[in-house]
Order: sequence, then structure tokens, then C-alpha cells
Amino acid sequence: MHAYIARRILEAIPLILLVLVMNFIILHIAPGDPVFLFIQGGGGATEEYVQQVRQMLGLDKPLGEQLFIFMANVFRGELGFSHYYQRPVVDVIAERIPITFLLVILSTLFAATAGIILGVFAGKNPYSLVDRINTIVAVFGYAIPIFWFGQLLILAFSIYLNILPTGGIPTRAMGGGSFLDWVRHLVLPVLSLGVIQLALAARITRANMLEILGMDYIDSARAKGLKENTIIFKHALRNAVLPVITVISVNFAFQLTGAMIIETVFSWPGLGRMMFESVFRRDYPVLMGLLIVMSVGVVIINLITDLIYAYLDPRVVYE
Amino acid sequence: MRTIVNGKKGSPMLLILLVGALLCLGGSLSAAAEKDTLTIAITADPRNISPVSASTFHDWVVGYRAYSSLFQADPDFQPVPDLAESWDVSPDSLTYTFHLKRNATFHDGTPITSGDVKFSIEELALKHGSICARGLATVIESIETPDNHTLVVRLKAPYPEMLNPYDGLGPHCSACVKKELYEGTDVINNPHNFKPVGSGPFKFVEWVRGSHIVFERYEGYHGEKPALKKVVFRIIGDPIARALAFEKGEVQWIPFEVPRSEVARLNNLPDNKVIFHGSPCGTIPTLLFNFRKEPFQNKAVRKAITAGIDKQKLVELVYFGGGDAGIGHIPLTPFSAWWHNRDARQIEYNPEVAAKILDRAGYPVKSDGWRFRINLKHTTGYSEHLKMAELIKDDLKKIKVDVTIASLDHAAWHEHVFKNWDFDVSITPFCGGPTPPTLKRYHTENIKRISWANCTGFSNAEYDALFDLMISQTNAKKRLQITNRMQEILAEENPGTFLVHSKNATGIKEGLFTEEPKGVWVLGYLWMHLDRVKPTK
Repeated sequence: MHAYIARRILEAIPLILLVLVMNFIILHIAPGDPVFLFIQGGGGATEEYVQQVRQMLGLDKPLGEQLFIFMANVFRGELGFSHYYQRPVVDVIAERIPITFLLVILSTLFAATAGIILGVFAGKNPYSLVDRINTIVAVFGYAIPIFWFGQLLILAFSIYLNILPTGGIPTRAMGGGSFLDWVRHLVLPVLSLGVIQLALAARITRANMLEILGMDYIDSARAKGLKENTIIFKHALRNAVLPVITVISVNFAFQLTGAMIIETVFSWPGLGRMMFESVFRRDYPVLMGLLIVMSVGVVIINLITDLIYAYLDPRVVYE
Repeated sequence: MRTIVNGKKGSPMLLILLVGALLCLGGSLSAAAEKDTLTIAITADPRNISPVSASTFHDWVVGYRAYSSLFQADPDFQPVPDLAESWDVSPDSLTYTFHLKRNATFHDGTPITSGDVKFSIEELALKHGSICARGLATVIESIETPDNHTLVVRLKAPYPEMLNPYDGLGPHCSACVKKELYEGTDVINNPHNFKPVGSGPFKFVEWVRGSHIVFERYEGYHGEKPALKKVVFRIIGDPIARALAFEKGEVQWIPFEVPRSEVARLNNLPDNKVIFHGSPCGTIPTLLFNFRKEPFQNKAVRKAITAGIDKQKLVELVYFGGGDAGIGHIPLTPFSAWWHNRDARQIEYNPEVAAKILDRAGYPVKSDGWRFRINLKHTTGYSEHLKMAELIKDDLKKIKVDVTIASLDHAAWHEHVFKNWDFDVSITPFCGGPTPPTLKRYHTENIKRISWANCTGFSNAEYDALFDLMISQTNAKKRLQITNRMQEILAEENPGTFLVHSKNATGIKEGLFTEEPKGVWVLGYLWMHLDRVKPTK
């Protein structure tokens, strides 16, 4: 198992390097000069000052040399200095990683749990009321734009019911930051970000449950006199849930993309919103740093998925 | 599904009710913590909390809360003492002596000396502040500190804006940092830009990037102690989220950036008030012509294009009435009224006349149905600009000019317009202040590849000579005559045309805080005197 994990990590390195090189080139050849955004104000700056800032940001060198310096720095564990924040990229990103992963992981867990529960009951009782509700939730969840869903949730829970904040995170200096305060701030973004995954999980679980509940080994289990709940949750669900895990894992990258939208709607200070803003600011070092974090995150999640697979399905063995 | 509550079987509804009650309780606890605190919504993080290279709205609106400068502006935009309790001007207007307060201290309790102010002006403002660079940096000969509380500024030539809060030694050019923390360091990347030891009425507490910035009252402030205990800047990028947070009362003030589409709705709700107001800066969308591109070398074409645009329609449809149709070439603010030349000939909207001008200028309608084709580049950084571009395209279609709109994100637009000069016409947000140095925009010296410089390529020897004469003219009457003539040249040559004198939309929660003295809310980003805002109880 350890050898397998090591091999997977080694295999991921060239992939991540390719992602970095391609994105470095794409970002740098896209129109937009960060120096012009750095120096704004009243138009009184001199061209010498522009050159000085270009030099300071390391943008005066040829693109190839910039790429070489960047890659060398990556291997040394240095990600450079943010043009906009004027701080080391590692610091800028590090303070936002927990907040985004908190949102993404909680929304994924919520979507997987709720979706699987809904799918199980729908699959167990096809064409019943629960099944119809499952269908409606799935179609609604998959079709609705998440930014709009987020705004609807704000209207309902923050404006009309007035029980949850419209966005942001707790403010420690204002006496916030308790566990409950975090829960209140997380409810709406987690619901919004999880809605698509929930729909997918519910539909896939239902379809698999329908198929599996019609199989011979389920009939055998029933003939043996096992309790219905044992049949459903121990024998059927364990098989039905495998494709759901695959889909959720594959969609993890989409969750990070969705976080970009949800973090904007809910003023959530995470990586997604920072990426969105950094594109407009042409903050190349931050963008490259984010790409590293996100690429590594996706690789790790995929690896964890494969390991969960082996745990759930004894037939899968990694050597 | 059954849930066990206190050892008994209960309905899941009980659990839901419990969670709901806890959430509501959390809400009331949170609200209780907000007394004596003003929460302000801004759209993005500032780059830093420092006067060093402050150049964006957010740098100023947040950063300058932490610093004192030699003087501030009163509601009439006149200088009032801040760090300097008084000042003297020599008869030849070449020497300014500022007498500093003796009780002024930094937020770490150490005294503010003239050496700190000198360092802040010389090393920060003049070297890294572009507002200062356009005037002040060219005229200051030396700064001396005969003692810890006296600052003497000697000029090479008279500079009438010296005591002007925008272009002079006000907040832009003398916000005071502690020399000891900056001297001998890379000032742009100095860590104190992010955790400032300031000199103003509010002291830095916490900055969670992307979320909020908290200031608290500085008890040792040299001026009148602020009534507010805390000021919180919440960063809410999405305009609708900003409006909803304001509606719910999570923020009590949105300075300048209430989404215009939300103004009417918010004003119809109790306790909300959105006011339209100008600012000392004035942000004016301007259609600039590129003199390097055919046919814009032709004055008649520029005039016809201007006459072909219905600016009043832009005010009504894009700005929801929050502004006036663009006229002249200087921002229309109460502080610029004294030198705005209303007699300079204006080009009125008249598509028939515009068509005739183009006919006479040698641009008849050709067989393809158009006189000529142009591109219009705008930034998506301002939501109104695309709407204006579409209406302009529609207007110019009537005079048979085919417009192709290029919507560029802010960085790409800067590159196209200011670096590469690659545009026919462009909508540019003009923000140059209410003082005559703003006219430097069209100076030949200002034709350089820098953001907000003279990207049009317009060059006029008489205009340049008049500007050079005006910038050091201390006789008010003569100065006015010169600026009047400069405005006549601009009206005649028309290198660009103001589209809308747009007003800022500021949202205020009524009844929570006083708005006195006049101007606390409306003076603008530099002059938000939050130290004078008082909670109403």
C-alpha cells in the first residue's frame, strides 16, 4: 500500500509541473500589464518609476528566464511575492487555505450524506413520494445556477427570516468566532456550494440502488431472513455508493471552481475569491501559487478516493 | 428517521428547532457586540494600510483612517489643522513654515516629530505617490526641520495648491508614518504597511484579508477624541451581497458604491437612505479620442461624434438619474465651481447637425451604408461602461458610424489604452481632482505610457505654455484667466468628452449615527472624518 501511495505521488509530479508551465505561459502572454495596475493614482508617475517597479516585480526579464526563475523557486519551496498584496505568496495563500477547504469539504460531506440518504430512500421506494421529491431536488439542484441559489438563500434566511448572516466569516475583534458563530456563517455557503453535488449523489445512488436491489444476492439475503435495514445499508448501499464516491471525487475540482462563485456571493475570504480577484489584478505569483495548491489538492483527493475504494470494496487491492 | 433527545424518542423536528434556536441566539449575541461600532462595506482589500504607494480607492478609504497629515479638509474643502496647529507663508510664497502640535503621538505612544513628517513627505509621498508627483514633487526644493515641532518647506517656484487638501501637503502628500520603522528599509514592502503604527484617530486592530479590517479609537489622539469605539471595514465584492448586507443592517454605510440598480429599492425600505453626491475627486466617464488614428486627427469628426451622443440618456438609463450630462473638461464639484468656465462653448446633442458636420468634413455615407468604422474599448472594471458603450453604439448608428465594442478586463484595457495606445475611442473613468493641476492630463509632457496619462496624443503648444504659466501663478485673477483660456482650447479641440458627471451613491443607515458636521459622509475617500461621527442613542 505504501509503495502504491509513493508511486501515485511520484506520478503526479510531472502532471503538476505541466500544469504550472502551461498556466505560467498562458497567464503571461494574456493581455494586461501588472505594472500598470500597480501604479495608478493621478497619472503623474514617470516612465523611470514604471521601469523601477517592473524591475522590482521581476517582469523586466524575458519570459523564458522568468519561467526558469519561477520553477527554480518552486523547487526551493518559494512562491515569490504577491504584486498586489506585497507579501510572500506562501503567507497570502496559507491564511486562506483552511477557510476554503473548510467550505469545500463541508459542502462535499453535506452533499454526499444528504444525497446518498435521499437516493437510498428513493431507490428503495421507486415512484413513491420520496422518489418524486428526490427527482425534484435533483433536477432543481443540477439546473439552478449556484450564485442565484445563494442569493435566494440570503433573501430567505437573512433578509426575511433574519436568522443567518448574509455572508462573511466571524469577526474575532468584534467578539465573534465561537463555534456557533462559525456554524451560522457556514450554513448558507455550504448549502449553496453543495447543491449540485447533492443532486448528482442522489440520482446516482437511486439508480444504483434500483439496480442492486433487483440482484440475486439481495433476494438471497431476503430469503435468509435478514432485516430489511441490514440488506439496504450493509449489502446494497455498500455497492451502490462506490460510483457516487467516484463522481464526488472527480467533481472535487469543480467544487473548487464553484467556491470561486460562492465565495464571491457570500463574501467568503477563501482561495476561490482570491483567484477570481487575482486574475483581474494580473497577480501572477498568487495565481501560480493557487494553481499549485489546487493541483496538489485534486491529486490528494483522487488518491484518498482510491484508498477509500479499496476499503469499501475488498476486491480492489493496490500493490 | 427517529432522533433520541434526552433519552426519549423524539421527532427530527425537535432537533431542527433546537438548531434554529441556537442560530437565532447566535444572531442576537453578534448584534449585541456591535454597539459604538460603525461597519463600512468596501468592495476589495486595500493593497496595504499605508500611504506608501497608495493609489487605489481602497488604499485611500481604509489606509488614511490610520494617519494624520499636516492638514485636513473642512466641509468647504479648505485646509484645517491636523498635525500642524498653524502655518505661515512667506510673502514671496516660496517658504511654508508648519508649526506642529506638541501632544501628537504615534499609536505606540511615541511623539510625532517634524523629522517623521519630513521623512514621510520626502521618502514616501514624493517618491511613490503619483498625485504628489504631478505637481508638488516638481516644486519642492528642500524640507528643513529646525526643531522637533517646526517644518519648513522651501519651493523652487510658487505653487498655489500648496495648501490645497487634494494636491498640496494634505493627506495625499503628508500622511505621517514613523520614520524609525521605515528608514533604511524597502518602504514598499515594509511589514508596517500591513500592521501600521499610525498617527491618526483610529488605531489598527486586525486585518483578515478578504473579510474585514478593524480599527479602534486611539485614546491618545492629539485631536478631539473620536466618539466611535470601533470602525470595521467589511470587504464585500459582490454588489448585490453588499446591498443585502446593508439592507439587513450588517453594514451601516456603503461609501460611494451602492449598486445603482438597488438605489430605488433600498430607499423604499425603512431606515435606509441612499444619497447621490459628488466628491472632491469626481469620477467622470469620459470618451477619449485617439489622435493617432484616422479619422480622429480631424477636429470636425471629434465634434460630430460628441454631438451624436445623447448624454442625458446615459444619465437616465445607465446612472438611474444619479448624475448630470457631461459638459466641460473639469469635474463639476462645489470645490471646482470657482474656476469652471461655463462660457467655453459646449457641443450639444444633435444627430442631424452631427451628420452634416461629417458630410462637410468629407465623410459621406458610403455604399455599405456607413461613413466609417471605429472601435470603442472600455473596461469591465466599471459595470456602467458596457451599458454606455452599447447606447453610444446605438446613437452613432444614427449618424452612420459603425462602432465595434471591445469589452476588456481592467488590466487588458489599461494595456490597450495606456500602454499600447491601441484604440480609436475609449471610455475612461476620469478622476483627477477638483483643482487646476488636473488640466495636466492633456499636457504634451503627459503623453507617456502610464496609466491615466495623456493617452490621446493631443498636443497643443498654447495649452502647454498656459499650463506651465498657471501652475505657479499666485495671482488668483490671472490664474482664472489662464484656466479659462485653457478650457476654451479644450472645448475647441475636444480631445475627449465628459459623458456623465456621475455622482456617487452612498448608503447610510438612518438613525444610528449623526451625520454632523456637514460633509462627514460626502466629502470623499480622503476626508471621511469618521472621528466626528457620533452614535445616536
